[in-house]
Amino acid sequence: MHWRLLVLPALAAGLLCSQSVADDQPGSTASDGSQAWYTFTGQLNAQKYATSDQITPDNVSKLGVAWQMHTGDVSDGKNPNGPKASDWGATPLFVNDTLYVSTVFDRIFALEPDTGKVKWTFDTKTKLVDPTQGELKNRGLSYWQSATPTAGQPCQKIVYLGTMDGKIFAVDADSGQACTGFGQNGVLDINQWNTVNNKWPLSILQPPTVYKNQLFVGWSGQDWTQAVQPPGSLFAIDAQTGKLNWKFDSIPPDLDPKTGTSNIWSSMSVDEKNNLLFIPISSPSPDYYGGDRLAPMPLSTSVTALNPDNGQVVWSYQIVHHDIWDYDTNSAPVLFDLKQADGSVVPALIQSSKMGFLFVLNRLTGKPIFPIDEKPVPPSDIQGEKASPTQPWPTTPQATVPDQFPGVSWLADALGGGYCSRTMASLRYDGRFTPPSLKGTLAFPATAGGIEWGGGALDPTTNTYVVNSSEVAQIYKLIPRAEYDKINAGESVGQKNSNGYFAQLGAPYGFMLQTFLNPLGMPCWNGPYGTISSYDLNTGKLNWRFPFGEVQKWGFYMPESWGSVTIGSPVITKTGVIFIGASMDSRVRALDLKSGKVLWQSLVEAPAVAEPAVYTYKGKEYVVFAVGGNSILEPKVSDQLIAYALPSS
Amino acid sequence: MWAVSLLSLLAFIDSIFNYVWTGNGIHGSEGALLVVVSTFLLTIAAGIVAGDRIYGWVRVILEILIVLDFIGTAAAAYLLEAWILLALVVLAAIAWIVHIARPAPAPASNLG
Repeated sequence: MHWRLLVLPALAAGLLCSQSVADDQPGSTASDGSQAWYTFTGQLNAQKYATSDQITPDNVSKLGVAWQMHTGDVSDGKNPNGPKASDWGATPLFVNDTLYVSTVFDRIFALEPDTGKVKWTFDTKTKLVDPTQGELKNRGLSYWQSATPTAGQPCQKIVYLGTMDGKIFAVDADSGQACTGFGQNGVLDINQWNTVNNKWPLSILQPPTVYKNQLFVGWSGQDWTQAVQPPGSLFAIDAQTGKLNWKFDSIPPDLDPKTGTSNIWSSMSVDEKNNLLFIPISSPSPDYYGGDRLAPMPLSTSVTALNPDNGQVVWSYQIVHHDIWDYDTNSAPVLFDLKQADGSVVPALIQSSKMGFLFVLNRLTGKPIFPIDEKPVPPSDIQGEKASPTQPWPTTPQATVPDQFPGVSWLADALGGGYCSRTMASLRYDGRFTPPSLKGTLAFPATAGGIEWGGGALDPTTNTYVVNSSEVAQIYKLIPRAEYDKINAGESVGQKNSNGYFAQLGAPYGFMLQTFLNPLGMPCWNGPYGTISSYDLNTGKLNWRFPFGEVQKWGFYMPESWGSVTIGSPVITKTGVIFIGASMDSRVRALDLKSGKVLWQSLVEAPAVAEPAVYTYKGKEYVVFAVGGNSILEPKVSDQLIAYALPSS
Repeated sequence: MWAVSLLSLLAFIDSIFNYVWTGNGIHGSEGALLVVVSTFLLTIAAGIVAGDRIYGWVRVILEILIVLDFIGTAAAAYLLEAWILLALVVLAAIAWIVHIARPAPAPASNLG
């Protein structure tokens, strides 16, 4: 697939047709007419908006546990002969009057939505080995159903599970039996297409995006290990047969010998009315040195619109030029219809980012709706590297992360015996986009975010956008190859990632990434470390912002004003309630959409990094969290699936 | 002083419960273990003082250590968000203040 931008004639037609972002995908409505929660982001427009209206700001404090279950699929990774630690971030799907959830042991559970009772399970029998990630990861399932089902035939409704070894299993949503017409006896191996720079197998952590009769499959890998790696590709697959319809590559083929990745490892969104697939594309390899990939790669670290019928690029907007910070575009853009002061409506999307920048674009053209400046940024002082002289810099909406490093924390510095201030004095820091250096660069915000793969949620009735964000400072240090090899003698390239070393084999530099902590493990910078913000996207103005969650260390909770680093995302309900887990303190919360005030919270077994699912079943509204933990936040893991509801009156 | 001992004992039991019960967000943590140790020491120290078996500088040092234990345990309980433990420690501290503020008993008259 040629990547050059194309302006399709269909675009003009799209501009003239309805701008609605409503869902027409089969399965988007439950049998009683209520809304299904049928994708990783709730809906194809990624709004994460629930039309359920039973739980309100006034009664949410009465919320209690409706049911909970444990899948049994969990590992703390401490057994040297057992599986690696689990990292479960699966959004449950409510569709086909069933709650479906997948596990890190690559099993599918089909549950009664009101009781959690198991209807059936499907075991892929995948070996519990991790080929790429250092942990066992899974972020959920995909669902397809035929628009014209054949009575009495199986697999008219299919649940798909991707595995870390790159296989997609298709399972009949009613019976839990394999759909043998898909792939080979119900299994499709996407690594059959991993033919360029095949350094490692492609892993599927994120569920494929399903639209009409196709699955759009991105993948994850090991972008820290080598300079030249599999190039970023997206596979469009027939939902019933697994046949490859088309393949999209984000890297110009002539650059394949020099780089790789620039892949789509996150969720995607779809504009059904205008027939557009929006893909968040990550950074190219190696993550932190670009001297060997100086040629233009306009699709890398971008949000790109494709024609889902053929994979051709409709438009692309690069959010980081020549990315040498691992600022992957990492979440599905949220689609909405922006209402301007003159009453006109603009089809729009908002793309969140690891930098905390929020890019609001016309989703039909990719043109900015609010101003985005091209600001000069610091040059690189590394031989062979040439950092981009400017970077895109949205001024509206206000970024979730401040432009300037918030300063060294006196408390962390004092308790660390001056470690923080001494280290800070030794680092290079010239503001945002300071390139990696040999002496060490302070990156703020850094690759940890900013905003992670959950993205934000949107209330389409008011265009209120809510997003959680972290404020993390990390140290980026390039290490000349000979020195790196000496430090890491005898270590495998994958192993050292857990210690902060990134081999970048084939590049003249290895890399070390450290979060800026004192010897006691306290953040060396002033908080807050995590916030939640609300914006009016019609104007781009910030409604409110508060520290969110609590940091917990050795069991001690730090002040609420510090907030918590978060992974996960909010959902919004029609009644103006925000539900979110995401924080380090293993709590799930409900917030008031208008004020941002915490209205309710409940303790769960680990950080709930998955986006919750909200649905109404048999007249009752449920909010379900998959509680899996994430090693970036806390070394806590769980297999708890917990549903909350109001007490029966 | 027996009230201090009793409340300290209850605080010790509560902190053990916090350490082992998995539904509180702090179980098994270093902080929860720390208050198990501090409330245990508080219980022992309060018991010794209440027993009226020691006098002089040893008693003064023990009472100072009790004060430090109150402060440290209360701060830890606050940060652990262990509200029952915090309430018990505060009550024990109040009881201790009452004990300190209480006038010393008058010497027994020589009825000889």
